Amino acid sequence: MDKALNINKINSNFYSWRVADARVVGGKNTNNGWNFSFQQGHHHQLSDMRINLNLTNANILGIDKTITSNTRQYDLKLKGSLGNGYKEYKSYGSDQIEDKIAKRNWGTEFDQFLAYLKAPETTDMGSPIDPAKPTLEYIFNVRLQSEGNIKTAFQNLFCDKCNEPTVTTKTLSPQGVKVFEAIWGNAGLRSNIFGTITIEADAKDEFLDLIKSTSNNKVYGFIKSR
Amino acid sequence: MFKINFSLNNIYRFQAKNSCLVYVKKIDKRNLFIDNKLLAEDIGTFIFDGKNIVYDNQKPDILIYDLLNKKMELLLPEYRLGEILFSNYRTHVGNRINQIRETVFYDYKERKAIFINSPLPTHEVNGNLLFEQPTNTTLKSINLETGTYNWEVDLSVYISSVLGVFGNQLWIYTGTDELMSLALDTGQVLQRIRSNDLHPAVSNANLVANAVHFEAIHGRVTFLKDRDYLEFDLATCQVIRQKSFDTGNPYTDWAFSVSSLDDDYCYFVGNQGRDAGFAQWVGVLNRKTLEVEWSEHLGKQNQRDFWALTKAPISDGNKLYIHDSEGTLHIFEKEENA
Repeated sequence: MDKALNINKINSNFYSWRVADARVVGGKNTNNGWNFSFQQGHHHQLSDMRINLNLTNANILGIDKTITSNTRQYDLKLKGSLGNGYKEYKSYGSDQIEDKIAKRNWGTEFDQFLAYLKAPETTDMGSPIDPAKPTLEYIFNVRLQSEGNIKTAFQNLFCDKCNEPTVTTKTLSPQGVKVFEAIWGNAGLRSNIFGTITIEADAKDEFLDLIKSTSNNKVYGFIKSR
Repeated sequence: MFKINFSLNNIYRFQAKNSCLVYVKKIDKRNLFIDNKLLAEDIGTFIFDGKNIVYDNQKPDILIYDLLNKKMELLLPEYRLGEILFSNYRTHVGNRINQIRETVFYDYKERKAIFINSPLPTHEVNGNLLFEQPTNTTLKSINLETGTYNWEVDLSVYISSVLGVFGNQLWIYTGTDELMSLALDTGQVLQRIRSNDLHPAVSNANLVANAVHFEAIHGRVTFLKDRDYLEFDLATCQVIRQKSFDTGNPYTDWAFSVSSLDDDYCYFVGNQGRDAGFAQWVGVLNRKTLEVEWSEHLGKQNQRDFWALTKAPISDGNKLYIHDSEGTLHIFEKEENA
């Protein structure tokens, strides 16, 4: 039988990994105090795992797998009855959401986003076959920003002029093209989003249509704020 | 067993068949190569059946290159090419007239359209076409000779994967982790095997493409996912072979991502030890002994953060091809003394 999540053990391991990570990755930023931002991120992820996901040990395939090889990867990967999806936690304030995502200056974290989209385990961006088993979720801290604002920032990342209602000519941004190509190259995700479309130019037009509305869960549903 | 021979960068797509490597290299434009020789510049996409390369350019026109006779021909002017190749030289093509999209299911050997602007077939099974409805719970079969529907069935569960035909039954895998068989001539559901009854390893697995393999000739379904290998016989509904790679030692466990297989081996990408996340290892599993006979770590310490192996390795002749998330194609060659 599954044991309940040993939250103290997870907390202890997780915190030591995070601190090690912080020393390596964020240690240079001592003036602003990495302790606070890492603790905030740590608290956000832990409370979501405990309260919202109600995880047991049987549902966790891995957490922050990367300290030994010193390359950052995913935050959380599930297994078992909750599916085998990825969870990525972002404790961004509104400034970071605007500066990094909306202004398309997301750096290596954009590469991370592309890596998630290319992973064969990712087969949806918000409308999974089984609603209980999303394969990718980006979970933002609800205390710092609302879901609607984050989706608008992502829309700006993907698309030129999409959130300007008076402009009729809307096109994919260079980042939007990379996102489209990542989806197109991932058979499972491609079929979830584009169905039977097999002609790339048609799919690209379809993608532009899909991202025009931030309420479209097929492409924006993976963005959560809680 | 294998040693790295060479690698190619900026590869957008590739296919390897009959000891021939066809690939698209993308820097600014997408250029098409056969065995490292440039065939065409600035193309859209291509399909390769082992004898012909069909591709489209930016005009758009669709062209066909006959590999044996080294002959190029214009196949369809003003059409774009779809990427799925059905059996018997069939594919989707499409064009646009005054913003109206026209899609055609096209036979490029006979050079004729089969269906125009019908729902597009998703599979071809024994000369009949299957359509999945947009809801993905309904399956329709159409007879290619007569153009009439054989049957239509709403399964009420999502169709995760249409596997193929064995024993006059069409086998599918559902989003609720069931293996299901339908009568080929009527679509009637004949068998439903819950994955829990198969083996706990495949239940709740959220199966992804290229982690479940169907071998029509042997009547077998093989799963290689997470930490488990499982081979299931469709005729007897029995598990033939299975092995868990969960050793209890987290530093030696294998975690499998996606794979391809032949009669003797599974070629997989995955991870060993704690790195259960994005795959960084490539390996070969012997299907008789269920031992990993060869493996190599392709990730490097100083590599960019989010590098991963995201596609199943392709084995062709004595070569093994692995395409990574950054677009590098790693080509391994079988060692002669192996």
